[in-house]
Amino acid sequence: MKILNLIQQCHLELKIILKFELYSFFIIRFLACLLNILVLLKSSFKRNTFKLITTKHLLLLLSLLSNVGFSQNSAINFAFHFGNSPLVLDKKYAFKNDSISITKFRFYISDIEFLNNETITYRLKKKHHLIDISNKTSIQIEATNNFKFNQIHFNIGIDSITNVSGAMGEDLDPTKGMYWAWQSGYINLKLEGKCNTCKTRNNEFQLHIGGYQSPFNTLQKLKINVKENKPLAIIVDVKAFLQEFTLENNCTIMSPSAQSVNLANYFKKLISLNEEK
Amino acid sequence: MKRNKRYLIILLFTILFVGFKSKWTFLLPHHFPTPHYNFKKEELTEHKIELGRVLFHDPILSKDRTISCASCHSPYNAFAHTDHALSHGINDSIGRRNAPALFNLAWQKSFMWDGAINHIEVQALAPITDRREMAETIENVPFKLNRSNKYRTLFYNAFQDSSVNGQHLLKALAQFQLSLISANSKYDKVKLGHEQFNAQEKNGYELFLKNCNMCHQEPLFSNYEFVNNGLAIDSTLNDFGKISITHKSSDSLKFKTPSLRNLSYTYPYMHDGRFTKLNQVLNHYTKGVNQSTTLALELKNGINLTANEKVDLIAFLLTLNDEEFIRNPKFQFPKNNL
Repeated sequence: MKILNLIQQCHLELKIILKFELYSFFIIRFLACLLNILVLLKSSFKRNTFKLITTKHLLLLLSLLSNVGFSQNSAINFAFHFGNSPLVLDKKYAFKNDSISITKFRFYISDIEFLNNETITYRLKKKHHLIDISNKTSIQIEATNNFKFNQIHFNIGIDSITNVSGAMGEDLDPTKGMYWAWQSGYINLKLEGKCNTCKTRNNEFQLHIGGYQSPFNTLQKLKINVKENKPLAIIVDVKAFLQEFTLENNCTIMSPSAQSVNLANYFKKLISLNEEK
Repeated sequence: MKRNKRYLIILLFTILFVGFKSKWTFLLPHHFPTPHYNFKKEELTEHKIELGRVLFHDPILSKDRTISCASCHSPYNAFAHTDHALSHGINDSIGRRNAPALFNLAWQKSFMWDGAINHIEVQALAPITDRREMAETIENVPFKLNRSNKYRTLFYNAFQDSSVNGQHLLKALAQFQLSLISANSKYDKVKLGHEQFNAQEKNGYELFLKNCNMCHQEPLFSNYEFVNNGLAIDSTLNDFGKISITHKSSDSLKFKTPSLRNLSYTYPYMHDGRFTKLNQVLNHYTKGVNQSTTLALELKNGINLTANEKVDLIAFLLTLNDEEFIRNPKFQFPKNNL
């Protein structure tokens, strides 16, 4: 596979040479590319690489086995709740003398760090994660990492630098519906649904909470103490969040404002740990 | 032997130096300041620019495939919409602001009249999704493009990935727009020592430096800051500018200072296109400035110009037209790909 990729790259570079007429620079890179292939071919013929791979795999397996507590379930899992029951989209729940249903719910989690007695022991490489109820959500941690922790830090939302760095990919791709088109910036949390207390069209409420610039910064930092080295089952309870404010006065929030900052302060109420596991 | 070695080392260094400098950074005008956009971080490539050009001219970006970016940003009008005060969108919808000219965008820190957009790569999201412009959803554009073999090939050539996503779409559009550099007007030729101003233009240039250069700073002819230039509020639009983005009262009635380059092609003028002639613009600054708390300090007493001075000033302003820019075939409709 690796060799094939390299050959492709070389071919591409040759095309660039023909097109751009910057011979010298690209010829050097092309030669370096060829050299790379030769070295790779040579080493794989020697069979030494096979040995290397197997020992590496063995080591990996050993480390997996030695740390049963964490590495077996090397993920952070998210479960969506409405109070004590699991949250199902479009289902009606009793809420403050009324009924409520949720139609859309997603938010960003970023900069996940594991700490052991206040020192960072592991930082997730992938910085931004879109947590979406309509996708089965879990965050994978590379199984090769063996680390201890009793605390986890993360943000709900997207940091200001990412907010001003242009078009991003993957979870941050603006086609994910979490980017404002008319005013630059990520929507940190999007919660939509229906509730009779909302005197809006079809009694819909739309909470698009974001904003990265002072005084409307909605990024929230969370620090949670967890059981030592145990896999994390995080409960995201929408009811706990909605209980904190009067929905009636906050049915439509779709821009960075004092109102969105106020609601963002309750993000932390969403998150709790499932202690049973 | 030793001498040869030295030459070899020097040769190697020059090769590396020449090799690393991209083709596109060479195009940056020598008499321009350092651009705000970081070309080293995100290098322009021929394939990405070409893809951006095709997308820019293709109405596929709009909901009903009738409006392209070029509909309101025509190359022959320095990418503005001549003779239209407010922008036009699908189903003959009328927008609320004048479509600005597009050039020298790499020197701008923020986009739109009120600075609502913080990066050129995310600018296109606004017109694509505005219901008075293209009225499309950003999710649907990659979906439509993915069904076209032509686009899959163009995206593969540009990003080595034939599957279209939002990031690549936006980056390609940005690269084409960044390549729109206007720096070949008579003014530029005078600055580079190839031509000379006549007496009238020279006088106009001096008047410009004295009265206009604070905001319309040469050589870009804007500092791209936001100011209240004393326009009376139009009650049919009630547009208060930057305050709608920042919610700060000090930003009330502030709009981005546009560049004065290519001004013959980009009328009507101001954020709502209220003036159609340069004379009207000058008359506004000499006797029409509306007093308010956020008014630019430079305009508190208006600008004093005699009738003759106005004529000279306009003669200078006309040297900012860049005909090579508006006729550059690299920016026109991509006949081979559309």
